[in-house]
Amino acid sequence: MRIGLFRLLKLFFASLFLQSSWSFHSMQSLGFLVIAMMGVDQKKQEFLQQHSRTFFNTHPYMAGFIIGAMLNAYEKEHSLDDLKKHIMVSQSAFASFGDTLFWQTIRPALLAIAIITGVKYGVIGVIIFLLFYNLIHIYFRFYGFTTGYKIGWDVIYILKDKKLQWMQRIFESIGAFSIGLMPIILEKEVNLIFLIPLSGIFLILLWKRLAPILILTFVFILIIINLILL
Amino acid sequence: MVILLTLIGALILLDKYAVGEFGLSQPIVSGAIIGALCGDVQVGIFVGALFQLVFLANLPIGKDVPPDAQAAGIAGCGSYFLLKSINQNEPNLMIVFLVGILVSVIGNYLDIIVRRINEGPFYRFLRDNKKLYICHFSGIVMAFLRGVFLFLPIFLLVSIIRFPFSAAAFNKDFLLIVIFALGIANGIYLYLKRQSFYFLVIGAICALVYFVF
Repeated sequence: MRIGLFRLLKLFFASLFLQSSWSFHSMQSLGFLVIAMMGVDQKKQEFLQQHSRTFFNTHPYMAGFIIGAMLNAYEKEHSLDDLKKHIMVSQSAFASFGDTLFWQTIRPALLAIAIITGVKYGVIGVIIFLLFYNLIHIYFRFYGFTTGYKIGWDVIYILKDKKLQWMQRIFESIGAFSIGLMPIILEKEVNLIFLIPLSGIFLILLWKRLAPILILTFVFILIIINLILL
Repeated sequence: MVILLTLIGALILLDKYAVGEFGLSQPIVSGAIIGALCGDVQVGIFVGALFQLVFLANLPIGKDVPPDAQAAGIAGCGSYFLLKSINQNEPNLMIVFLVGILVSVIGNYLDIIVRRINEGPFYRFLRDNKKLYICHFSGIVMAFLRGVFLFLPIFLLVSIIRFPFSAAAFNKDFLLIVIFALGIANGIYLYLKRQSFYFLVIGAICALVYFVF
């Protein structure tokens, strides 16, 4: 089964607005329905509007996998209960994987590179970040729709793909290397004596899962102490 | 300049989750954009990078709404250039940092309010399913208004209030060390796993070599 270029582009464009109406109660439900409407013909849209008011929340870049599979099942006239059951299962699996891959690994790794290259060499760092980050997530959006539509609900097994696990490992390594390299941004004249103990203290606070606002308060206390001592 | 910065800031902030999520709202990118508009990209990137380091491990996982790093970056960079245009000399980085942190906290609360307001259009859609597109895209208007309500008062205050701190009484290097320490801690927190630990050590050795030679 192939999705067709025009329909794929419509789905991709709609997917950019998945979270526009995000709310605590319905989460991405309206966005999900808007994207699904782009994937079916005029006659089926009204039916879909009335019967697909399902709760939906997943990682925004991974939503294509689920929506593609849903369109496949919809065209094969699976029952609505069956559709809802599969959506419920796959949305949490893709959400968890997407959060780890994008928010926790790829984005911070590319941002760390952008910080180093941006501060050292200017706008090139920002361009590198935008180029690679967008290439990856746009690829995932397209790949999600096409693969989901092609293989249906088996798309969930894609999460076990070794290539994805390798991708995660590569970006973890890049991120870790960049973090180790981070001090080179500071000028050589800057006294680095406090850098290691302060990093250690902040790391302990992060590991203790202290609220971000308390960590920021600690930063202010440090700065005020420094101002008083001056 | 206040109005211009507010509108640009609110537009960039749409990228946080309402439209696209292309990474344009990340502090280092928004810093570069605001810097380019205000005539100094390099400084914009530097100020943006500082906020990026502070919020590097700020993860929007599941229902969690963390402090608004994107708004902090925009407000910090905007305030920097606003203060520079008023005083005609290098602004106090401490004030810029304070403004950014304050905005990250207020932005977080506004974000929660907007997400609650968005429940209204959802229930309207449940009553009348022909209004799907209006109900959904009204969220973009709400997200834009959130940016306007967040940045306009902050930029107005920054442009009106005369700050008592003099640049001479403030140790800029210490603030940088604290921010970098927080950034490195954020990074280690994200990547400290057995398989990536060696890469962290290799990176640190490279940095050490750079400082020695």
